[in-house]
Amino acid sequence: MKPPATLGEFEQVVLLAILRLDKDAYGVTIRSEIAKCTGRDPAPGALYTTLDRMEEKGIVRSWLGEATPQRGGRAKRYFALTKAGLVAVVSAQRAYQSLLNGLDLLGGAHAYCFNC
Amino acid sequence: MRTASIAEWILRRVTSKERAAAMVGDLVELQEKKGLLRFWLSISGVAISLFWRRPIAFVAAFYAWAWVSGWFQMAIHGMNALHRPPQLWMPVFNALGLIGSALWAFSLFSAIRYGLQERSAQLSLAYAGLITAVIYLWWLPAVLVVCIVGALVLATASIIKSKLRKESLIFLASVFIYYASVYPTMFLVSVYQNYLHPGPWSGQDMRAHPLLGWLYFVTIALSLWVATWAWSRMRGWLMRSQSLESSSEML
Repeated sequence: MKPPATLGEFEQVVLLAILRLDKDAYGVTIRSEIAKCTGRDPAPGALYTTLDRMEEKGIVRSWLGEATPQRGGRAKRYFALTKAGLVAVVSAQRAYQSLLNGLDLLGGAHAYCFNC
Repeated sequence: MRTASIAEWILRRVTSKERAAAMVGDLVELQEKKGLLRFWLSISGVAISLFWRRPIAFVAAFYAWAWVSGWFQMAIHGMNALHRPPQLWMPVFNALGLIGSALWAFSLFSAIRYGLQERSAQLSLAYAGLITAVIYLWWLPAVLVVCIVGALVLATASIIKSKLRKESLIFLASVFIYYASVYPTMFLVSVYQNYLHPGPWSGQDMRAHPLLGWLYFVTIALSLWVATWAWSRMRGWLMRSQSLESSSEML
């Protein structure tokens, strides 16, 4: 069986944002979802090159949607994960999860407190 | 609206028409909130991030080609070469030198432009390494046997595995395109050289006709540019077909 593709940290952030947005994942919404969840506003250049690279690697696929007057009659380019993309992001998150196990950083009596 | 059209025209220089339109559409959508200055800063950022790798990769490939082919020539024909190949084998070594120098250039181009995880860069680098070992160490039987076996294994794997076959075709076609474009143009420049001054040229002759040196330089650079452009195009087609295959395994 082919091993899952290895993902960088920003690639994982983008993939999780696409998953959260479900059918409404395009440039603007992906950026705002990342900003809402992580507090950082990714540069458009970084986001588009990452999306292009992941599409070339077969991790995401894209298709053109409707054109709106708000966008000057230009179509939206929607993104969704492929099966390989889902396998890769699940595998990466499992690796993080197994590293976190037993550390009590996110919950429990010894959870890390940012304000303490 | 005119601003957006200009921005789209700029982005179309570095990406496909549909992608450029979608990117500009996204930024137009945000323009009302963020303003015109932010719009242009974003367009510049996108253009630079999509474009910067290609010129740097090309310049690196050009220098790699010039440097490696010079070293190969010295190893094969140099007066002080440690072990010069037998005269009978010279055509083979000349061909290996030509293919090897182009493969080093393409490996570097592909590694800078697409990353070292790129399969075509890895394959090209593997063949380039084997050729370099043969040129420098052909007189050691163990090295020669290892290189021949390695090349046979790579070639067999490239024939059997369909993905490797496509990747191998990319660099083989690029090497062919490079030499198919460089030789006819170099021939024309040499005809011009012969017209200026028949017979062998001295350093003084070259200094008297600086245009000739530039013609050779431009000829090689243009041929390499055509070959790297072809490499990028073929890789684009390959990636699109693979992307279509993986899209068939959609969620």
